[in-house]
Amino acid sequence: MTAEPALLQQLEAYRAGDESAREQIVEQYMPLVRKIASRYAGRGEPLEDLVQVGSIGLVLAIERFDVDRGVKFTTYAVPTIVGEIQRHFRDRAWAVHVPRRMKELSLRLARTIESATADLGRAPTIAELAADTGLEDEEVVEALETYNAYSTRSLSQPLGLGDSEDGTVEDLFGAPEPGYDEVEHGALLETGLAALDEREREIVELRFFEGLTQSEIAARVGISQMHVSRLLRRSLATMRGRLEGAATEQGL
Amino acid sequence: MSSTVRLTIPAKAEYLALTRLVLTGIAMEVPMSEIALADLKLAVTEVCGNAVQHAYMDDPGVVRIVFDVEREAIEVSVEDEGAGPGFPEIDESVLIDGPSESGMGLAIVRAVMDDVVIDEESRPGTVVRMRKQLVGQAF
Repeated sequence: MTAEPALLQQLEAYRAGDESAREQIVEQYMPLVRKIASRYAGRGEPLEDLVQVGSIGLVLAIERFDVDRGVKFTTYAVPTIVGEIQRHFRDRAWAVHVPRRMKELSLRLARTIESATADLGRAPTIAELAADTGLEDEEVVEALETYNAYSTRSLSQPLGLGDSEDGTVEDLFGAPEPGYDEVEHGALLETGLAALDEREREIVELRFFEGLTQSEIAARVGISQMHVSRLLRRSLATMRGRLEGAATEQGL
Repeated sequence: MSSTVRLTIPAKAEYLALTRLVLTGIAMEVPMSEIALADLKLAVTEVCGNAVQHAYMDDPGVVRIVFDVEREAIEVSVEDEGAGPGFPEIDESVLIDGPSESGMGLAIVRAVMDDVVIDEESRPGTVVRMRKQLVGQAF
């Protein structure tokens, strides 16, 4: 039990018809709402919206609080405010099961990793991925670690994003370019390059001999980075096919 | 069927994220909604955060977290061995804009978990045991 005499007076006044008394209570308890709402930051909702929703909970608590039940108003108000904020999330996409969300995040990240790698010419950091996707650092780590660790999906399984050229999960996770190992085998490389058409050869040369990023190549050749990415992938597969055949012949 | 995951962290704020990552890992195995996971993370962060902030004065010790995972519920116990204050109940100081959040954490934990027990019998040290039902809950 506690002495909340000011509050009790205000409540009495409000219930006697004094609307301004309720305003005063709301104003007094808003810091509590803000503090609770701040606990829900990082779930992708603007803090201001959460404070708004929380304040609805506060108003409900004022309406429903029973002064005779012997609990403090704060004790009563917190669950009501929390409940209102929870409901806000429940009404959104938060009811899905965790692995599904992680899978979605993970696929989204895979695409971001691919394009960021192309833009930066190196693997992006967690912070860069978070900035690009609007996720928290922690969510990025979660999606990358947990989904891959717990997934029974094969890395070589197609992504199934609706485009047959999407490639596989493995392709997206910054796997070493399959071209590197073969680079040392100069003669073999010639053989591989010979399997490509002129534009594919140009792109492969820009990427691996001149070290340009996919975006730089896109600008140079005048096609989109996505297209460069696709052509590179296809070219490397073609070269690998040709090289494997040649390597077998030469007993390598 | 139940499995137990144990995590011991230094009583330092920068290790709190680990407790949340463990929960995500568990959520990949045990069917639960995003919101249930978010509630668990919130509660565990509050309780461990309290231990980190208040349990140890000058000599930071450890916080032990045990996750008992059942098919339809998860029970988490958080234990510190600090001589500091346990887990305060809410008081009116939370109404002052500013850092004071006295007891609000516990009130939130009670709001998002189904069952919360604070054991200060074995002081020094505080054990908070909490349980969340994962199935058959309207959230």
